[in-house]
Amino acid sequence: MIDLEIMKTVEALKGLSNDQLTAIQKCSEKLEFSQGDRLFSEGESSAHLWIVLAGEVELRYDRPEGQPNPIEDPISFISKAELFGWSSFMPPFEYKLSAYGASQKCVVVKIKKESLENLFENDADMGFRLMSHILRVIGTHFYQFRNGIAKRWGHDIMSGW
Amino acid sequence: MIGNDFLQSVGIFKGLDENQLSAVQGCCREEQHKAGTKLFGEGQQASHLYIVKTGQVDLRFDLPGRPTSDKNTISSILEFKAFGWSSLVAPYKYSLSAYCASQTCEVVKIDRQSLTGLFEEDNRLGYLVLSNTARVIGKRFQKIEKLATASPVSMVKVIVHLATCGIVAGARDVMNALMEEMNRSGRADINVESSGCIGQCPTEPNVTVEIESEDPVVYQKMDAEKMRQVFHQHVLGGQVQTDFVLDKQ
Repeated sequence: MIDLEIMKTVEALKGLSNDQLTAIQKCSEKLEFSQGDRLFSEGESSAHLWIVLAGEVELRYDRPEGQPNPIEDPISFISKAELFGWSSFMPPFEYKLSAYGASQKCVVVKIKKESLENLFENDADMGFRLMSHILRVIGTHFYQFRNGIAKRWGHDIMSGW
Repeated sequence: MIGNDFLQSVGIFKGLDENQLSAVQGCCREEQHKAGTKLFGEGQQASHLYIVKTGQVDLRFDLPGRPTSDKNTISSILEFKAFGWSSLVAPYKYSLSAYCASQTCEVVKIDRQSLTGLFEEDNRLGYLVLSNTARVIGKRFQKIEKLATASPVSMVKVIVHLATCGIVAGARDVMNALMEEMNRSGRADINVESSGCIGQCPTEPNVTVEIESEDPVVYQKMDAEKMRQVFHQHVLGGQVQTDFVLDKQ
């Protein structure tokens, strides 16, 4: 069981009442991983939202050799109290990157997306607060991705002139 | 005046009831722009969310000291689609510039502060709009991802409809112009085909452009000049030439 006090430190869950946190707690699972362990793979169905409670998780492309990455450097490290697995809230509902344990030990919370959406349907306040945060994370990744593409195309245009 | 029926057709407002749509309507303002007009610039405060009502808007990255160009287009936004959603996401700054890409375009401009005020008053409205926005971003993500990774080979097919009705209306001139532009471009990977009548004789010559992951676009009443424009702007540049598109009705 995840401690409510720990849940309160998570950025995405800040401002939620004890009742709301308890509801989320009921659809969450606490897991531990070692460095190099894979949490999920790129392309897998994204049925969960994840939060780091301790340690660090690395997100990266994990494509077979010869298959190009969409952008050069998407690697990011997710630290304590941060959220990942945001692709569970947007089509095609598949993880865009693979996730690996990046510290000797990392503790994460895995929240079933379907249960979370049911909670949102019954509690619009919770839905609005959490979606605001999730959208911010999605937006950051989208900007990063789009900027990577624009940078590459911009470079091609400049060098082609 | 924007009606609830228009807002209902916009993906990010899916699921809103009549009262919620009316509330959103109160934050809307319409604007008309001419080809090439800059609606907003990269890095500016994202004070509005936009919806294309008619025409096309291109989202482009700007290069220092260079004029804007189709080559800088990252996404083309067509009717009923929203853009400028940076207005809903911190740090509330537009990440690309928006340009009117059709002869004229009409857009609906929604004031960010008024809209987020509605979200605070009605959390369900806020939840629905933000969830829908996540879905819209997801689809754009997929589109851009495909553009970034796909090989251009066999992605594009141009079909000139060369039935008797089409030939009488001038389809051969259209085909000749297309082949000339193809040769000039050196893009041997673009597939050019001819086919029969599509059952729209009064709108001949017709040309269909199929780009992978996009809906096919049928152009009407084409001539050599229009074909050259469609080839450069749509086939090579990815921007649908809405002024020539066959009216589906």
